[in-house]
Amino acid sequence: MTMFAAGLIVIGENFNVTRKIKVTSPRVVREGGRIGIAYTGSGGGRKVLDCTDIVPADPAQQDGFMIPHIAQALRKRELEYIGSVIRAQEKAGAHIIDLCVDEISPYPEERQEWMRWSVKAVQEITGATLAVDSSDSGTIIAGLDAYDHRKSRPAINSFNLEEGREGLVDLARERDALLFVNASGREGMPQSAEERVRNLQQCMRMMDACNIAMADRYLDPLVFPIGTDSECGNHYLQAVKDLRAGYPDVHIFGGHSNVSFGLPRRAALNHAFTLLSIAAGCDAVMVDPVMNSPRPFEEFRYAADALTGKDEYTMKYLGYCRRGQD
Amino acid sequence: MTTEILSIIDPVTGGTREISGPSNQIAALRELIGLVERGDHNKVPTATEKALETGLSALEVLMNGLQAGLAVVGERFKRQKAFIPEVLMTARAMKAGMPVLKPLLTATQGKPQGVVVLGTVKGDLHDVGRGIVGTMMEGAGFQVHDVGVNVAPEVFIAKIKEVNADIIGMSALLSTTMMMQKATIQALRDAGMRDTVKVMSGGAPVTAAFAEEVGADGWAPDALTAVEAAKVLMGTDWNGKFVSGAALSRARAPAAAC
Repeated sequence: MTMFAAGLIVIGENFNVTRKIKVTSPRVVREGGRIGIAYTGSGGGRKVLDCTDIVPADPAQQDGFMIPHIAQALRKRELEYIGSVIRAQEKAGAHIIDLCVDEISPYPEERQEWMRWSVKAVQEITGATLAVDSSDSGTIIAGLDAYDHRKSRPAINSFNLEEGREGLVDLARERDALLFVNASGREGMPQSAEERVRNLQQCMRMMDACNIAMADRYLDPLVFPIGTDSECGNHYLQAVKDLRAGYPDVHIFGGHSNVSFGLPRRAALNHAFTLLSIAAGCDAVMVDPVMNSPRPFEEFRYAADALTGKDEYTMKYLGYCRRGQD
Repeated sequence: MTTEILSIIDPVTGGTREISGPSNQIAALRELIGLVERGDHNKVPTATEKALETGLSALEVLMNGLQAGLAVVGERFKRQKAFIPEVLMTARAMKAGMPVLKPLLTATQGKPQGVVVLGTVKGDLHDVGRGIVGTMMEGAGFQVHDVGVNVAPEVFIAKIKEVNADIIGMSALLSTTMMMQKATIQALRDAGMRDTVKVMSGGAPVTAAFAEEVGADGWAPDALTAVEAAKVLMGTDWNGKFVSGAALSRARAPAAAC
């Protein structure tokens, strides 16, 4: 099964129950005493995800309220809304769709149930690879159990050196899954570029031992917000450079939008950071592809590939342009 | 010398308060507040010394200068007019003045607002958010002992005993580790310490409802409200009722997910 042409791989991060929309967003509509989020259904018609039960009824209490819209769509089992979120990401250029339901419940069995349900629901909508994302191995296994391999190969998000994650490398091999690997250490988060590289090198050796194909390994050196430490961006970028020098053929990505957490005009920072990351050696990005580029993300991807020697004679870029600004 | 009036944000109540004094004292405080507000940690030590030279007491310089400067940016953050790095820079500037004042504060004046043990619960390695809470609590006059990440209940308990802590602040940044807060509170009960230490619960996925359900005394959505909630818990008139940080100030964007 072909995955995608060589070139920038976009991992859409929007299917995460932590996702929220401000109650003041123009997408939030009030009709007949009810409040909800307007969206376009699969047939093109206007639909509304009802959020009346979770938004405070008192307008004074609504100030600053954020609607957890993905969690709401799950609880209401509103497949049309989920479909609109998935389709918007694909339209914006996502190749892989990340699924994270961790915050829907503190109870493992409930998280696992939601992951199983989500994998099935989203596979009805798209044939794209889904990254089964959880900080709890049990939830990842639940997602893989529900996965229909005839539609696509799954991805595991993510393996690292933390306790309890050892089994995920074997699992990736058993389930023919792509493996996302992050730079978290056994005792704590990495504080420098060197620590990121060291942790990921150790993971690489573990994947070597399990014969995980190089093309199936996605290294994430971990992006932290520059709002709390000005050097976070440099630590990440340096780690990407060093990893790329050591492993020419592995995939390297990051949760790029994390860099701008807590700061205004996040799109500006995210965009610049994405460019810097690609220049440093990233060939994949995990972003909100709908919001995070001033250009359509697909166009950005063609441009980035042309600029980094992945598009001979800029043929793909020109092809994209000729297809009529689609 | 003429008497002047300066309007400051009271670091304890968060409300506006007027102070009056000789113009040179007011000018010195105004200068100090401005430097802290702008995060100029290089100039703060000298300005702190200068303020003392005008005859202000160390406590006045602390409350009406350094902490008042921090409060200006804190208030701005609450109204979403300031951002995390600005708050952190201000806290650094405020702390730069402390070595000058510390030796001059009397035992009572220098007594911390409270002694806090902070840590991220077992199984969770996230530390950024907790670090900010620690910085802001120190800025507000708490003595903070940060025990780091992946902290087992027995490690929390040992530290609480060692430093005779008033408050334990637990962070969990993963929905998969939130339950460890409940386990830690249970360990405090088992150790017979639940009534001698106040428990604060926080972290991106932790809601007020969850914190109350697992038996915490207080919860806050971000570092600044955590400070406010801690002050309420330390107050002599606290009645044992659950303190929700969001109810103290306006709801705002959720805390860091990292």
